[in-house]
Amino acid sequence: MTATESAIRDFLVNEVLYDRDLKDLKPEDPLIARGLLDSLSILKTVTFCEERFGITVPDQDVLPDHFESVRAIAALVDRRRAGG
Amino acid sequence: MGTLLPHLVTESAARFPERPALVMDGRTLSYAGLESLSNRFAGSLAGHGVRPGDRVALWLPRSIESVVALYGVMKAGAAYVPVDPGAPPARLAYIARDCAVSGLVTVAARTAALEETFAAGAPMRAVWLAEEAPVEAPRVAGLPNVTWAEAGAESDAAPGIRALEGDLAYILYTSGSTGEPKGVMLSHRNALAFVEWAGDVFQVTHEDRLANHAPFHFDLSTFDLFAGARAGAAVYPLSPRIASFPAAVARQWCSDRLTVWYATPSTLVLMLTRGGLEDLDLGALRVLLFAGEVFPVKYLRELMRLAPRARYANLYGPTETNVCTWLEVAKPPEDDRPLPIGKACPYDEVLVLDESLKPVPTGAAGELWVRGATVMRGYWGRPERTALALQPIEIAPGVTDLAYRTGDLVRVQGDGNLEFLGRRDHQVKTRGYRVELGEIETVLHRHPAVDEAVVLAIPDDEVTHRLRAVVVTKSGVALDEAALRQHCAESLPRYMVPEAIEFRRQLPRTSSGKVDRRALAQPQTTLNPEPRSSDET
Repeated sequence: MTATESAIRDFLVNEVLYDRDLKDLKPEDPLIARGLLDSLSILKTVTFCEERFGITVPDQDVLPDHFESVRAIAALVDRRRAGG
Repeated sequence: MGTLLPHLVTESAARFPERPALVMDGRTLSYAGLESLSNRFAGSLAGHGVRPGDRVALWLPRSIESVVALYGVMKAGAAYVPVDPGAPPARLAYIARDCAVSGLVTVAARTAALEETFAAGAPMRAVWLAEEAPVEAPRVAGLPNVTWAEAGAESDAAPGIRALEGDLAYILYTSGSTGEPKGVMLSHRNALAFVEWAGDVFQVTHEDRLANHAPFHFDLSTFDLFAGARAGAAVYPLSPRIASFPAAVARQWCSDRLTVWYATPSTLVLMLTRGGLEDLDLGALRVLLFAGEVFPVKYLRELMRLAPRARYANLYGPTETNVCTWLEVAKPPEDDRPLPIGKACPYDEVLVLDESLKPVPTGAAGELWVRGATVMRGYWGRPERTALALQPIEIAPGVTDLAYRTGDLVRVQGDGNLEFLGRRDHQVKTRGYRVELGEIETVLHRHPAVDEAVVLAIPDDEVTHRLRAVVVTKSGVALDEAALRQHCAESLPRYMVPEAIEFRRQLPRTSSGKVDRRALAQPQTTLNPEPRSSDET
């Protein structure tokens, strides 16, 4: 697990997901397909990523493809950090 | 016009057999297909012992199959009981037992979570798996699983069940202040009074394409599904995959050229502030309806600027009455005063009464009571609660009718429109959902380490309210905040779980000894602050 993935994973597990079974959430585990994210948890996750990693995530990038899993969110963050 | 909700599909299938009834995720089901599949599903329910007058729970993500099942349940003469697909198994089990469902419709991926929940026995006779792909699923409490293929192998002839328009069509469970959700019983006639009026006044036709954003346990969905079916229009159930992403929803609705949108202000505001609506083509939008909470006027004005040719209306009504008042917004409001909730729909009558149940004069504040065609039949299995909510009111000398006490405080303006002033209790709205703060407090109290708990609703521009809990523990030591939220999530739907939990040594009190909620809501008056247990850096 990369450092970005690990930070996002810990945030989701502690602040967003509220489910004991998710303590061992893996970076590739599906988030949307399991119905784990509602609109408020997505807003919170975007705010967390922006503050923690010093990036901005444009609204048009907040799409299901980028929130499929911890790995997908981390890829979005890394792309934004690289200026992409 | 049919007298039962599923007749709306039957009649549209006769008039427009090949027109699309449901469109979702690139799949289309025609009216002929919906009629045939829902007849087969009804046959399967009956074959496993579901009888007219029974209840059948639906607990599954939105899909074309879930809508087929909903009509199938009603065609079998039963009432559908939609349970929030995001609710935990414990809440489903509570509801299933409370109204003694004889069937459960779900998907295979969810049955494993139910084995433990129903280990001690289940009220239903079978579990239906409403998904096209053949699947293996564990059995719940030893009950048979009925696959979609098995249900589809039944005869497609109409089930021939005679039911009455006063029979229950669906039961919607809402948050209960004493800690237990209560089931609002609604009949076919209740629903049709609203659906027929709304279909006519907003001129829904077979050429319309209706968004379906609200989940089925939320009564906004009754407009999308039933006004759509009545007109032979295409209904577009929103894919669960994109439902939480305002930008994705906005793109989908605009590219599908949907003509009628009905959603909560929270949904519409997020589409506006974070969905990029500005850059999309809203040219197809003909009617935009909203309900469930107050629409901040500055955002409504913005929306009306982006789609100036559409009709806009504010619909109001608790689940117990469906929509009972409405206000057409003909032009963008000039100032930021909150939008009125309008006047009574023609099938209902509104009464604004004082504490002694006497009408208040125009301009004075009072509580809103509603009587008429859409008023519920009562709360399932709770005659005392029903008697408090539905009371005989003398509406004219010698003329008395049961009216529903909304708990909403209103004022009649000079132009006859009702102005919403607030609640007389601790019920709040968040993302359009109605939440009793007392129900969340009851769940917090169930945690063995919690001594006192108060839940506050913090006003929020985008989602109406955010929920924050203040907790005093028995030991005086803060608990793990995430663990306490998990405790809540085991019995409450996600939107009722407080976003933040603050631990204090004691709660501020008023002079009468009650918890001072007003003081709690103001951070500067914090008493004995306890350090947060988080590892903030």
